Amino acid sequence: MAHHEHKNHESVVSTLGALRGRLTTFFLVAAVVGAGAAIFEASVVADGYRRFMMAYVVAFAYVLSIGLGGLFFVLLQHLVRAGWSVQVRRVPEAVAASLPIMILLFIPIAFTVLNGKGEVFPWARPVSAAAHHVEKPVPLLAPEGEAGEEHADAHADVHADTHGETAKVDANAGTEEPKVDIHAIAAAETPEHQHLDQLTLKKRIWLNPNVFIIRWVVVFAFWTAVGAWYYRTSGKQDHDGDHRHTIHMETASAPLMVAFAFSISVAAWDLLMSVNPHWYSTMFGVYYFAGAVIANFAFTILWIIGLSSAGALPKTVTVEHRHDLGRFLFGFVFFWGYIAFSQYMLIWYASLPEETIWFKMRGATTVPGHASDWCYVAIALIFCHFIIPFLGLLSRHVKRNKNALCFFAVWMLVVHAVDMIWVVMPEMGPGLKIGAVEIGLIVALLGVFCATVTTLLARHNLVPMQDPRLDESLALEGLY
Amino acid sequence: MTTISPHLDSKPHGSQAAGEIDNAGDDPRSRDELITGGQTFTSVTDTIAGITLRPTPKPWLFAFALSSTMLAMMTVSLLYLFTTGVGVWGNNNPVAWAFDITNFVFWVGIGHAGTLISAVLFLFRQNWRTSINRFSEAMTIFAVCCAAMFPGVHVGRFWLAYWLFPIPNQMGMWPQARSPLLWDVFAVGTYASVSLVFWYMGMIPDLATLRDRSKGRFSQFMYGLFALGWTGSSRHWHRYERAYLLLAALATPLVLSVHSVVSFDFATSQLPGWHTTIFPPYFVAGAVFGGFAMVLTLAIPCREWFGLKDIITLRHLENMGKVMLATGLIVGYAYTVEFLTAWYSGNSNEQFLFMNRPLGPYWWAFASMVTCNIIAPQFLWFKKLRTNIWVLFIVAMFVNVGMWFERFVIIVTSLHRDFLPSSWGQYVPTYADLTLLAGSFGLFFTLFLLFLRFLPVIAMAEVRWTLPQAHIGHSKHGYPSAPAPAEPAPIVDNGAADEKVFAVMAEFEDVDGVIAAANKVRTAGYSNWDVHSPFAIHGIEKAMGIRPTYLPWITLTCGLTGMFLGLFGVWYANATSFPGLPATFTGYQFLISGKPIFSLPANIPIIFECTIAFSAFSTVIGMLALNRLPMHYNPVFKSDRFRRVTSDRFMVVIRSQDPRYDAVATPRFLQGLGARHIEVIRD
Repeated sequence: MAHHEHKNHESVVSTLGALRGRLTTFFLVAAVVGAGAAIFEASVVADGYRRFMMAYVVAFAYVLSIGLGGLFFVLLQHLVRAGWSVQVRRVPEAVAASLPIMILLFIPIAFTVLNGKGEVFPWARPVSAAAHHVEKPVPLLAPEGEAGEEHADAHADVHADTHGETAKVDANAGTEEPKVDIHAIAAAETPEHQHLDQLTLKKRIWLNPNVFIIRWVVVFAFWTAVGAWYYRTSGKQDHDGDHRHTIHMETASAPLMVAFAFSISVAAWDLLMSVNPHWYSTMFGVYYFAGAVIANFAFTILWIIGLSSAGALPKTVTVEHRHDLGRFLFGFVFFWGYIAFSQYMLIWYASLPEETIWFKMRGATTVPGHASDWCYVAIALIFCHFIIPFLGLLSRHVKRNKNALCFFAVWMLVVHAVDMIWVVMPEMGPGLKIGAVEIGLIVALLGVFCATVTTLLARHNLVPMQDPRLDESLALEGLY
Repeated sequence: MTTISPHLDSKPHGSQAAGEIDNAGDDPRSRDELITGGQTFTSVTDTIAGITLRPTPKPWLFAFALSSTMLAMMTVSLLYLFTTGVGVWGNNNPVAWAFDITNFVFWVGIGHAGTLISAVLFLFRQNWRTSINRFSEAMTIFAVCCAAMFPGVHVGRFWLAYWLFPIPNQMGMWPQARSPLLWDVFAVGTYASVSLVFWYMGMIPDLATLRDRSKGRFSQFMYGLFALGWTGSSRHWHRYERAYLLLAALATPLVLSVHSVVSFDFATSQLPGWHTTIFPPYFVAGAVFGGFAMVLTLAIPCREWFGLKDIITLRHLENMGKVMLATGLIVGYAYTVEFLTAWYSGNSNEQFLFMNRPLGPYWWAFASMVTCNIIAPQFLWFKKLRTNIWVLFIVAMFVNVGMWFERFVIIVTSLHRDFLPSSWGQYVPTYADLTLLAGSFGLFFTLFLLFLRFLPVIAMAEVRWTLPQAHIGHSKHGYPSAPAPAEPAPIVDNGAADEKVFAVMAEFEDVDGVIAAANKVRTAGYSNWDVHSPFAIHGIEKAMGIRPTYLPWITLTCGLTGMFLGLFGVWYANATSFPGLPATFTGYQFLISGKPIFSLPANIPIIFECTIAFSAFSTVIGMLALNRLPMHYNPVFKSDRFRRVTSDRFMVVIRSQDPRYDAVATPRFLQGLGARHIEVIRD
């Protein structure tokens, strides 16, 4: 029967070599340019400081999603004992191992949470900011007493009835219904004017600066440890060729995957959902996860194609591996569409005001009088995040074509960034906020992250040359 | 089906303990063989076809008597229901949905494992699915039958259940396309029919095997009828494989959609405990979880009784245990997130509901759910337990029970405490409820036993394909070809001399032999010829020069047609009004929960299901049409030796119509290719 001795595969010896310096320089220059552009625009636009901080959270969540997607990929491949992916695993390994750089990049977020101003996270202000007069119903989104009469009407309407029985804003607005300008209310919600309302106070155990920091210490410790361990263990195998490393990595992957699921949900809740402390959706963790996996596959595809084209990767990484990565990208595009549609449809259908308001602020509404510039983004997301890439990646010819696959990988990375912006920035009001602040910060953080990935990638062979399942990856041939 | 390399699932088993061959090894250096016991194409076919073709065993009769008694009980219960009314159940106000919908969701969920195994695992190239996909698919269909019964009788006047279908009735009413209950009709309807077609299409090659092996005239006729004249032609296999891939790709989103739509029944409402956005993926994971438990419940006794331990091996069972653990943990994640969010929402109704589940009057249902769904699967973390058949079986039983309780908890505990305390109520099942639930198991097992008796229980063709010797290049990897014949094969001509020659046929015994022959036939310039094989040989397209089929374009075209028809249908049924036309032909404009009359988000589920249904049916019909099937008369069936082509032999058939065909030279040419046997077929 077929027993094959494991051999040292000379053919897959490959390193980043001279590319390392060039790539690092490029990424760091991009980071500086991006940061410069962001700081410049933030200093000239109105409310620039707050916008900068919010955009920073967007950029952080975006780059973190790539890192977490990489961690997920590494864990998943070991969990299912995949053979095909061995040759493309080094990039996600380096991505996962780059997660500690996010701790450094987390400092501004820790600052905005701890400074007691609550620029990004309204709940992060001290309890002393709470509104103490509770005899009147407390509006969710607007300062009390300061709004005019028109606003007072609006408050009564958007007032989220915590019992969820009566208020119903999403019905077809008849002509006699008062127009609810939620964006005006949201815009009025600048930190100085905002009180900590009763509903947010109810969540104080979860939404408070100290517990937030503790949670993030825990999740960062977890991600750092896991990413570093897989990176090191896999690298060690290149030298000693011991197949037991694989057994250890596989055994550990199952419990780690469970912990990963909760950790990424914490990230989604804390960074993105709690920007609006009233809103909640049980699906939200999955929504962020879907985006993270897309981002990681797109990111990996770009690296693999880039490294292949530069001649750094061995020829044994073939069109079949790219095709498989492309299939996963396609599959998760569909998964994202499924999750996003389900989340939207259920909230739209039940039409509970405390839930619909989130989509309304983001322009996902057809109710007259509520449209804003974010409508364009919401509609663009349906097409660009789901329909176009779905149809585009459907064909095997596209997935097997380097340029086409590259195009869709870049496309997905861009629309994922737009998605993150769309989730966070409308909290600042109805005006579209996709400018140099947002883009610049995303480029800046991505640049720093990619420079880290480059450094880590350079330390190992680009293919795990002693992985016991390498034979399977080398022999990969697609029959459909 | 694809493979990485022919020799990967090939390490012979190491130890044999307590009657179980342990091929669930963890050594990453080589994968354990999937099918144990040194099986050949012949032995696999003998084992599996033998189950169907041998005389009815006594235990089967006993089991059948038992299950049909339960089925009779269900019939009596249904008659009582029909003659008396839905009041015979314990349903009340506020608990308007109880056992009926619980059972519906339970059974629909069971079905999901079948499609997961046959479609999703196929896309992930999990070859171990081949041993279990057939009866999982059968399980799917029977479970959906059981499921469909419950809403059907729950409507009260079940003879008006046709109102669910998009047929205009005398009152000018159309079904409401914005209602999740109608989405259910489309989702479950599409799911049932597509699963049935998927199941049947997968069975065609195996039915042909039974046709060629059965002895009785009646069974030959029946198997022959449904085998559609399958000859194992490589040109057919090529389109068949493509159709299988397309169906798998269509069934994957379909299976996601079905339980998602079922979850929409609940989650679109405003009821605490039902309205939560994580329901769709959580329901799907739960369905797969419960479905795998049922597959294990069926697989473990079957492999024992039918002697299938070499085909459904420990590795198969262990993998199923792992899937169960993984999906169980996803369900656990959803429970956790739901509880956490109920607190986080700050909504006192949500908080009350989620405290009422563990602490209220139905605490026992909640406790059963947590014990069975969360605690029981944790044993599967340990390989020792996971590879112990008894542990697996008991955990699977727990999960079966737990998943039923999960639906009971979701439905009944959410309903029995209304917003107003004056409307609180309690639900107690009646005998009619209990007998109907028990009776649905009777229906399920009766159908399943009939399947076990009369249809191929395991996908023989696919299992043959998973053997290492089924792959090109096997002779280089320790599975040598049969030695070349010492003297040229005899040329047999059994036909009457006055009949015209139809074809000449050469028999081969192994894949590498027939591939080498195919290469030579192609390079010799023949065009009207074929290779017949008991499974799809991957890579033969290259050897034979078969061009890719355009079947995917048929699928795409019909899928788009289905999409637009679905869109048009919901628009027409709910949003049109043509002045002058009778009410029967105009849309039924009805305001429902404040939604616009034509409202796309609420119509997407139906449009989606129409797309899938049209694509799936066109794929199968297109595959059959391109293959010119059914073709029940085929001169090659005149050859007795040809019958082995659906079991363990490979045939190269060159038609006399081929321009290069020569009555003398062509048989000689085939002799020179190393054939075991040459036969001239006349017609």
